[in-house]
Amino acid sequence: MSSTTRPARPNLQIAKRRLNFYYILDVSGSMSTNGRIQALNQSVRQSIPKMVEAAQGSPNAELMVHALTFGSTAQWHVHPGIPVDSFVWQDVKANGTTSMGAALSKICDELENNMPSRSLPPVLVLVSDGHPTDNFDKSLAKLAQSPWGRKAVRIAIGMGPRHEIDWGTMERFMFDMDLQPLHAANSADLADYIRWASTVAVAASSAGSSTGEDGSAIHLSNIPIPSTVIDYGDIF
Amino acid sequence: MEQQHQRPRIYTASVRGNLHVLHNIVNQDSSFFQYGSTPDRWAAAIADGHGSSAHPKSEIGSRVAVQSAVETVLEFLENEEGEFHPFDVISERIINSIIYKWRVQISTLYQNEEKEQLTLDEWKEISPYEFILYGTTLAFVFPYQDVLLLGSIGDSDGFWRSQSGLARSLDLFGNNDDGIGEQTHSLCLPNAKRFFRFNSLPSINGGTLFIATDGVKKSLSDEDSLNNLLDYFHTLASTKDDSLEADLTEQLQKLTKEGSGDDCTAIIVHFPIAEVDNALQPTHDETSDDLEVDNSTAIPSEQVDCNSVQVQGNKLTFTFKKKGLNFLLILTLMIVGTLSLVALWKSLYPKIPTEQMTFYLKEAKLSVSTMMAQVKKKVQCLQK
Repeated sequence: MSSTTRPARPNLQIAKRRLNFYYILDVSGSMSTNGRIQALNQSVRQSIPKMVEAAQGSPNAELMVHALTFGSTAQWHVHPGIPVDSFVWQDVKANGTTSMGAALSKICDELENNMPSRSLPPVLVLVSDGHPTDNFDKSLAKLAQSPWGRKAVRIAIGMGPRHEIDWGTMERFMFDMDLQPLHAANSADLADYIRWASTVAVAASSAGSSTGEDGSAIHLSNIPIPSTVIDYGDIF
Repeated sequence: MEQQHQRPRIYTASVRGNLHVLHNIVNQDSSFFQYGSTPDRWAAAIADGHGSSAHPKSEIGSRVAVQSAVETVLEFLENEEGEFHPFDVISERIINSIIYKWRVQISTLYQNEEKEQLTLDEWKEISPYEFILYGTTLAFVFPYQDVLLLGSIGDSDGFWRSQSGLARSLDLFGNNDDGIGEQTHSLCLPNAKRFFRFNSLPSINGGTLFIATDGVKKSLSDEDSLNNLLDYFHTLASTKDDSLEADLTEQLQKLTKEGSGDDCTAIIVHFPIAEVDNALQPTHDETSDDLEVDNSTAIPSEQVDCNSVQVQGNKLTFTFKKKGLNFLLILTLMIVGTLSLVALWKSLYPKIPTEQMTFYLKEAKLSVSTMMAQVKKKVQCLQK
């Protein structure tokens, strides 16, 4: 064929795949004790550069960071999502009860309405020091039934003394994740775990596909978790 | 008048995903096609190995899958005896054979590769799950009787455009409903047959079929881009462009680098316009669409935009697809009707002067001539 008759190259709108990352943070009154809320603010802020690195390791994903807080009510702190490389953390304050169920309900609405169909599985990182004071299980059931909620990478970090944390709730949040909730006993643990969750979860979300036969798209059990910190910071 | 069966032109390309290049992972996609002994015997297939940690040998699984599919189909087509309903062929004979063949070959490979390295207990523990290690999707296409049959398990995509570009489908495998996340159905599942999807495209004369692994569609942000890609390769394939495969490779590389980062593989099957003998040979290269669509296919029937010429043995029929009318039959009825009216009129009004009768007949003749001219114009249009 003559090269003069070749059609012009196709006009293609090529897009990276969206990866929505959600911090779900407890800002209830108990978080104001022992410097927990300060540690949380600092840890989230410190996790950003690592997330930027993780995003650079996944050049075909467009990482968007969101933050939802829950105290007496659940409300968006950062929404809609901001590209990770322009994300700046604004401190949150602790106050009120622990409306964790309301927070999950908001996440469900978000996943149902604002996820492009060809997105990577979203990443949900829950940080809390206590027990939900509303109907958590109802919202969790809603999350488990939603297509994106089921496929999300879900990581729970309990902060504070081990006996004060509602581990049952944390474990239920991580259904099908093949991984136990993480325990941050001090600010250094928290910083390490939030950093780990932010980077590993991003990498895991953008990994290859699976059959889904076992109910979960993502396996984190083979990825080493940061070793337990002996004592580098404040005890919550 | 004989319609010359023409072999479709088949092209394929596969590129390693950008993320796989960065992380030093092999391309887990595969594609394969083969022609049979006659122009209407061929098969093409693509497969996408899952690639996650649970499926470490998926690149082998995908390679075995495309080979199993193409071999199974050609064995069937070459040895076919009797006529079966196309749906039975693909849903029973072909799918069962592909799954069986894939499992036998994977088992053999697994035993040869792994058995030596495992203890008996380990072997017993792993054996039932060996297929999971090789997990892969599969999509394939082949002709049977007057239709094209398509089958798919997993999230590969199938796109079709007719010769004119007016009839299209961008979801031949019905993936739009569950394209969420990275989970997909797999040939390695124990109940894999349950998850196969089928479709058919009837009686194609001109047009292009584009089958791709999910990395292609995931890289494009809108349907316009998909259509542009389809149009571009249809045009290249229509003109027998020698560099089509190189061009396809280049486009797939662009998609994975700037888009999904996933492995990208595509098979293009281009159907040239059927040649008929000299008496009906079009005066130039262009032609109208000839796509017959039944309601069971993924292409809505209202998208069929033009007429077609059907050649059945020695009979040539022109049909309006939308209205379903036979033009020649209408013409005949109109002529008979006109003559009957004239006869009836003459019997009712026997005293009509001959001049007046001649006038009426001239009018009728004029009408018939006009209609004939319209028919002739239509035939010319169809031939074009």
